[in-house]
Amino acid sequence: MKDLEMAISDKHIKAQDFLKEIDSLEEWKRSAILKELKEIKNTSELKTKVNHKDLNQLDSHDFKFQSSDPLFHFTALQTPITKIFEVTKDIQAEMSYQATSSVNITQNIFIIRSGQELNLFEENQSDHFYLKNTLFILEEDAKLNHISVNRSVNGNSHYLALVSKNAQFSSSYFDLGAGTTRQTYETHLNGLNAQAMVNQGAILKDQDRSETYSYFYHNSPVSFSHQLVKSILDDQSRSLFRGRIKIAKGADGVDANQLNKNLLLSAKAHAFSQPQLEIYADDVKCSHGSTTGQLSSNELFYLLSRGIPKKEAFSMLTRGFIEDLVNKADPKNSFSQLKEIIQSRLEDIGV
Amino acid sequence: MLKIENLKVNVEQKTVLNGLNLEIKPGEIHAIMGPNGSGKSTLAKAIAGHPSYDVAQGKIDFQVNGKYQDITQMEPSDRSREGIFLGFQYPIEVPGVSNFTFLKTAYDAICAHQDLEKMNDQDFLNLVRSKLEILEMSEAFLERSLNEGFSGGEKKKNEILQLLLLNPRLALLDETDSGLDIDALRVVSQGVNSFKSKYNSVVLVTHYQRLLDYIIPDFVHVLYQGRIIKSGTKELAKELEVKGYDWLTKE
Repeated sequence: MKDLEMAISDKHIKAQDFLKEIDSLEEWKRSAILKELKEIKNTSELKTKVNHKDLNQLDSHDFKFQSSDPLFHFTALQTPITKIFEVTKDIQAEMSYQATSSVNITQNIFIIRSGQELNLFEENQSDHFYLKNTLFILEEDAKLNHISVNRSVNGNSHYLALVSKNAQFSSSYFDLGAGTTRQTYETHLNGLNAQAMVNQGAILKDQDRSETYSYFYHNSPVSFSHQLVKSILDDQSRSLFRGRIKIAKGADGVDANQLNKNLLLSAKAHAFSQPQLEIYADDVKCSHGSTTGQLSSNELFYLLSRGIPKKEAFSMLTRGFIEDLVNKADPKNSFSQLKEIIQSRLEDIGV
Repeated sequence: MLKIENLKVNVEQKTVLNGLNLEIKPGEIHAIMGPNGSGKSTLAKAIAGHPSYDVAQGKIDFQVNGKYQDITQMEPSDRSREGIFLGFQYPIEVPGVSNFTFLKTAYDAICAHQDLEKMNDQDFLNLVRSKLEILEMSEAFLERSLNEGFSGGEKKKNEILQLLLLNPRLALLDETDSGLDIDALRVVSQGVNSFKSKYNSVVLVTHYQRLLDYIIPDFVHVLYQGRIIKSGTKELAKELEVKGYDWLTKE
């Protein structure tokens, strides 16, 4: 397993290869894709309802895009479940996913052309198992601001981002659903001054289990990544964080940092955390860390010393722990919507 | 207003304050000076009720509704609502909690305690604006997370902003002057002086005489090995500036 993972990640996934493959498709396939593209080009505010199809309809395999995560692959461009969006001008988009069947699969590919910007807010609200794969391709100078909120039960989201020279990838993921969820980010920084900021937050209770896997591949010198992963754990919930930053040989001037913070509200909650660095370059700035525990007694005393009652101080700090991520999330126009969703989940855990 | 008798305070099993006596009357400004590690900050934190500072002996009597009451067992938030304010040496950064929300929540708590009607956000904002002006702070500070990414000077100004809004009877300012440049020191002092009235009292914990040029103390105390070894007027601070502490500690 480990060998396979290494072999694939060493292959250095390039956006260009992928795009070349799309361009070489037969004309009828391209036009099918272009139908989707028109939809997004003609409107500045796009609201898409994605209809899910059953897993067994996944039969034609025109195309396969394998990632280091065995659960993640892009199959068959022409199956109804895969949508490709090409962004050729600055766009605001909102997508919501709702369940229609017992197993839901969504695959989206976003190609953000040179110098363009996509602001994307996604909301996933299914009562059934879901599998969501997303590929982001950021060409040179492209920019993506992405927020994803998961309010579903049991499922798996996987994001793969290929970030080119001078491109900026910003993504915030909030796991607010019940059950067992898994989210994976795999980010490839492939050009000079490629930047990635990935923040993830989870609010867990009862028997919820949330797994976060994250891989940053700095394939280019002078590329930047910044990651903050925070979980609030109540009751008997569990969280797992496994993150790796890999800096390729010769990728000097990289600045990468990674921090995992877990706030335990119950004695029976567990957080597992495994931050990893794998560095083959000589001149890099890299940091990673992990903290797990209760609210900081210093923060608590600070609020108490201003006359704020204990219960309220506790609730303010718990809210603040996760709202810290809300403040960092982009696009900013989703701020109030996002805050409301998080607020209602916090109320579920009595905060 | 405050009477401290024979106070002994332990921090992590170590005795830091050992038989300290101090009386503060309304309208007075007291400066607490002394070499590093003499217990100055401990005194301020113990009065405010920091849980890590364990009062092993003695009492801290504070005037509540005109009557002296030992507050050593009182919760820190209750002490604050009764009118004790601690200006932190190192104000705590709290990501995710906006400065405005924090100020409003603290203000609401004190209004509720005094049976006053809750102020609406707009009126409160106007009140805050008037205080921001005194401190030469921009309104942008309200939207930011509490102290997060603030410079040293901004953090100290934010402490004084809280002081002005909460308007306590006793202000304990723990090294409020440390890390300030001359301009910030002037502004911060301006804030403290605008707070000061004949009904309230200020305790300044400081290393430097220069603060006392801006905020004139009525009394200066030298703390050493957990007790006050010398008290005087502002002239004592000037003397210390020239002679250091050696002449006192060697006695």
